[in-house]
Amino acid sequence: MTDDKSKLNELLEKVKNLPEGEELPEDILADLSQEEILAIYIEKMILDKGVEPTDELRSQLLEEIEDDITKALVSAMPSELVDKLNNDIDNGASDDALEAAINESGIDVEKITDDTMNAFRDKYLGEEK
Amino acid sequence: MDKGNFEAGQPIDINENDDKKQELIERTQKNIDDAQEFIKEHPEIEPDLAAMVKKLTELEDSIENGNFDEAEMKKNENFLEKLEMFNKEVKRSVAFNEAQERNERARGEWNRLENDAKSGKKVLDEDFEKAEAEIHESEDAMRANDERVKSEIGKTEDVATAEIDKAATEGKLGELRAKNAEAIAEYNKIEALVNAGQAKEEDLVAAEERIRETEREIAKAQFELNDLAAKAEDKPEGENTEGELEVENAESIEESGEKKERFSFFDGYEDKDAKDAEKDDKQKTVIKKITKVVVPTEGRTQEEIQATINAYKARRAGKKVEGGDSESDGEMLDEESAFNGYFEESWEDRDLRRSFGIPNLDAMKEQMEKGEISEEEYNKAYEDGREKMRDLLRKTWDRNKEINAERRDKDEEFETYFEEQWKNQEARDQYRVDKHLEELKAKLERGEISRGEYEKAIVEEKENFRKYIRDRWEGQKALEERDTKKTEPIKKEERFSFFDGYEKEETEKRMSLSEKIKGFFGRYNRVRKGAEKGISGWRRAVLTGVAGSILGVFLAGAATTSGVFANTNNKQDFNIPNQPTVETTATGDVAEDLVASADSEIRLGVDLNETYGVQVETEAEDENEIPDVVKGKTYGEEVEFNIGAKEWSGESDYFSEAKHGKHDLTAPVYDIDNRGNYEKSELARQGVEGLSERLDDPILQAQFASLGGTDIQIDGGGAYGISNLGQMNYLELMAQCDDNYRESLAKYSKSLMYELVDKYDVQVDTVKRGEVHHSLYAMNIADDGEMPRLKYFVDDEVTSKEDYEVLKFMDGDESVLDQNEIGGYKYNFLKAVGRIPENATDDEAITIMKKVKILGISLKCGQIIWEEGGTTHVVVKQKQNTSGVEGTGTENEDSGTENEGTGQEDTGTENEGTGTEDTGSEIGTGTENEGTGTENEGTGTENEGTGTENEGTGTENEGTGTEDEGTGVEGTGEETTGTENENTGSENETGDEYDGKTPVLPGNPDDGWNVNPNDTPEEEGPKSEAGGENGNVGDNTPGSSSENISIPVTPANPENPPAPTDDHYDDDNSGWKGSGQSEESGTQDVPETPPENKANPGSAGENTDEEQIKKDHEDIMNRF
Repeated sequence: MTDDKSKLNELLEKVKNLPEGEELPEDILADLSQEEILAIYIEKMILDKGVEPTDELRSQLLEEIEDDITKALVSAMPSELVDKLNNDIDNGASDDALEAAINESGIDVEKITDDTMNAFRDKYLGEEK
Repeated sequence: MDKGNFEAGQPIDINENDDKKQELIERTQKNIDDAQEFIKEHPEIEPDLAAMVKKLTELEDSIENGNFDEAEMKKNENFLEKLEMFNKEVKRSVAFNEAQERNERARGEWNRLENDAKSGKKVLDEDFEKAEAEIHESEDAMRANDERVKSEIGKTEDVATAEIDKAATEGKLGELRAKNAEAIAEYNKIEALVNAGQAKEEDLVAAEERIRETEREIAKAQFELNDLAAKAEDKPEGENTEGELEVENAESIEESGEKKERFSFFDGYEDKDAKDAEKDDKQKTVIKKITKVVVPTEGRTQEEIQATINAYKARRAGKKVEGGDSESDGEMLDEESAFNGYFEESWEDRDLRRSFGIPNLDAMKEQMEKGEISEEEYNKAYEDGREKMRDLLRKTWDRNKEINAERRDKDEEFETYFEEQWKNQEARDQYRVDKHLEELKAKLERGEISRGEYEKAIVEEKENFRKYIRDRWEGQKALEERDTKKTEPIKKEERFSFFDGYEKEETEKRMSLSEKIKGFFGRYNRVRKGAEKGISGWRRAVLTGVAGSILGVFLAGAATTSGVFANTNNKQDFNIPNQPTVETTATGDVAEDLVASADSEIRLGVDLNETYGVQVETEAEDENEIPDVVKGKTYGEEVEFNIGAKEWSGESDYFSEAKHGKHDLTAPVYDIDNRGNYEKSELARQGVEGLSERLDDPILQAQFASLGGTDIQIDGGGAYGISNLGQMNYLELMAQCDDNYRESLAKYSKSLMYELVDKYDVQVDTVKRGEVHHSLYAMNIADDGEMPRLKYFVDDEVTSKEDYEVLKFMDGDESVLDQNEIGGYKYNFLKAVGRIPENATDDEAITIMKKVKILGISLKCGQIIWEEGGTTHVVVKQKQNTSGVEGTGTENEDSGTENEGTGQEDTGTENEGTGTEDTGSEIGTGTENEGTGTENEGTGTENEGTGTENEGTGTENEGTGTEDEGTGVEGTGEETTGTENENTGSENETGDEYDGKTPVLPGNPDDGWNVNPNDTPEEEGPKSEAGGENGNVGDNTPGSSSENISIPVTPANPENPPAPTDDHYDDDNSGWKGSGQSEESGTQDVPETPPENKANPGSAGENTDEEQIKKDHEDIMNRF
């Protein structure tokens, strides 16, 4: 979550003011980091729930959603890959090596991330305030 | 069958062949006639005979149209003989079953007599003798049937039956192959769409599953065919032809029961006791029989053959596992074998292997053959893959076992419950069991039914009671689940438990990896891409549930800005049509397309009637322009939509086959026959029945479920709330495209219906012609017609054109749907439809509830309808001396509230000379104000509680208009006033419109804009024009109210009415005729919009979301 509230608001405005029926254009998302995208997601989620957004809440939810995504991805991995990655990371493997191993495993990272975010949102909105 | 093959076989004598041909045709026709006649007498066996009739008909056509040599003609004759045999067999089986039924009943009667005698009751000997005689006679009949068949057919029964079944199975196999081809074609089509980004991966997976399903069916049919072929040819063991391998499989069957199974038409009629007795008998007579299955071996490896054999075994075993009766049968293959079969079958599926992360063994094999990898490497990969897949499948297998066990437990639990209820006098009385039995007995005694019919009816009675109890039991279970959930909010620990199902060690290593890899995932581009998808998916979801989300408001705002909703006219004056239940076509993934292209649907001239049951006519001269008024016809009802003008550009690919027809709904009729207390009203009972039929419709499901106001548990998809319009729309949409959602929603709404019907007295009330009420119908028009944008510009207030009935559930004298209780049905529903803001306090909610009356559930369309008694006619007026751009939205609303109550603004403002007078005198009277048309705002407020009068009081208003204004000319617009009054409420909810009598004050661009969406240009009188004209003032003034309105100044309401357009602006001020004094003030005010306004044309953009939410809340609250 960025601390720069004005930047966040600016990003939010961009998203909000998209012409209806259009996907988010690349140029809006292209410059955003994963964290910023998630921050936007969280912010809207909080607003949709109708609770007071606070930095503490934002941070907490961002941490939780990142945690969920990580766990969902790890959960989807075959056991061998879990062993391999545990081992590789312990041995100081590079990002490229990790990336290659995950890519080879065939798990659908994008879909899992997408699904997890949706599930997170649904759960959050479904919880009592 | 070859036709016209003169080369093959012997030369034929044409004449002789013609005679033979004629004879066969006649015989065939006779069999067809016989079969059809028999179907008439026994419609229950139509499925069995239909295939035979089809074969006969094909054969007859073939013989009639083809030229056959002698050998082929002989084949035809043989085939006909088989079909004749089948015909006889069916008849025999029916007779056999009937005799068997008689026998069972007689035995039952005998047992009953015996029990009576044992318990000391007096039993006549002649009754015993009668029962015994019936037993013997029926047994004779059963035996005679068997003998006759054997003599007639002259073959062993098994062989004869197998031949017949084989013919039928061949036909079935052909059909299945065609289905498979269709499924493959569909898959290819969807794949292309997925590649083009027009369909979801999930659709592809579903299509793939359909292919697999057909393949499984084909395999099954093929096995059956092989089995039958072996039987029909009566091959001794070891005499299979080359390329075939025989599999022996021990299975338990009951000899005489085999035919009964095939032609058991009366299943479900026997009572439990009879079934138990039958089971005991079967167990005594169980014999072992060897069936033979021929497995093709040609061109197949040993592994493949073995896999097929195992799969076959697994299938047979799996069937029995599903039946859950393995222990009592004692003949089932052991579980390990069954699992092995399941595993082998799964192993054969390459895609499945891949999904388990197993390397591409085919590719590796090629590599091995090319020498790129060693044989050892390949073998290792092969073995490792098998082991891995076996482990994973074992988990699935075990889980399924648990599920089956749970299911069995549940069934047993129900059986216990049922037996208790059968003995429970209260339950019997509710279902009127004894009464029914008495009636039956009376009929028997009067000779109206035979004893057999009587006994059968008794069995049926118990079975019907069982269904009744089952429904009630399931309903109770659903309610218990709901109540449990109510008291147990979702815990976070549960939400984030991802590693369920793994062993401890596995869990630990995954948890460890999760910690280690967190940082990496934060940088991993594919996760970021996924997040992009997530945000897009979120937007889609939000789009479908606009009211509950800020983004939706922004989109609505954007639409308003574009002019689509400009000068919306919400006036509706049509009957509520019947709710279509046949098909819904909106799909979740195309929600954006729907919204984006809704207007284009009209312009493109698509025949909506043909496609979706919606007719739309437009009168646009320019094809790029959408006219103000669209006359539509939806499901037989004439409607008009005023959509303002909009320049259209762009194309829509929405109307593609792939995006429609996601599924057809089939309406299950829930059993409500014996539920509820309808007192004197048969109509009420019918109404509940009709409602139950409609609960298959996602729209009504969502609406009805909203009464419950709790989370809906979606199978495999978590829990979804339904406490705001956004959530309700989302669920509704998901229910349209996802079976799980639809089934979960149906289950939940069904349980609610049972709760209402069981607990309360059901009554029918009448909504009179001319009364105005609200419903979500307008949204339904939009959805059913796939014109979601109509959601925005069709308001949900309608006027009845005829009397119609509504269902009410009464607790004493009180309708439970209209109880003003926090957490009650009404509260839940009003929250779900957005009438109670999410963050409303309980006091606020109660205030709102008191203003709303839930009329009931329409018998005509199944909608929950309500009236707001004029409360939504509250208007927003400007606050005097307000200044500053920032406060526009909120301040306006506040001022509106103040104005309503006090009328001070009117008096204090010179411009509003008319207004002052009006308000002062009109408060509490209403009618006088309306005469001026543009001054309706005041009326709305003042008329609270008098909604009915306003709606239909066009004539009355006219007169008062004249009085108020004293201007005479303007006051004559009778219809106008009526129209305006009716719609005021709707407009208040959605947007702002210029109030003719309210001055536009500097410093507040929203001032003078009033919620009045009801100006229908076509129907407006002169005074309406005034309203319209006033509305346009804003457009002409940069930074004035129209701009403010177009941006979501009034958020959280997707039905925001549009700002007025230039079309109605009256340059010469003629529009102000409605009020001489106001005219002046209005025209003078407009150009005086202060520079600050111009510099700040839209307040919304500057407002934060928090402010908007707050404003949303206030806006709604102000309406009440």
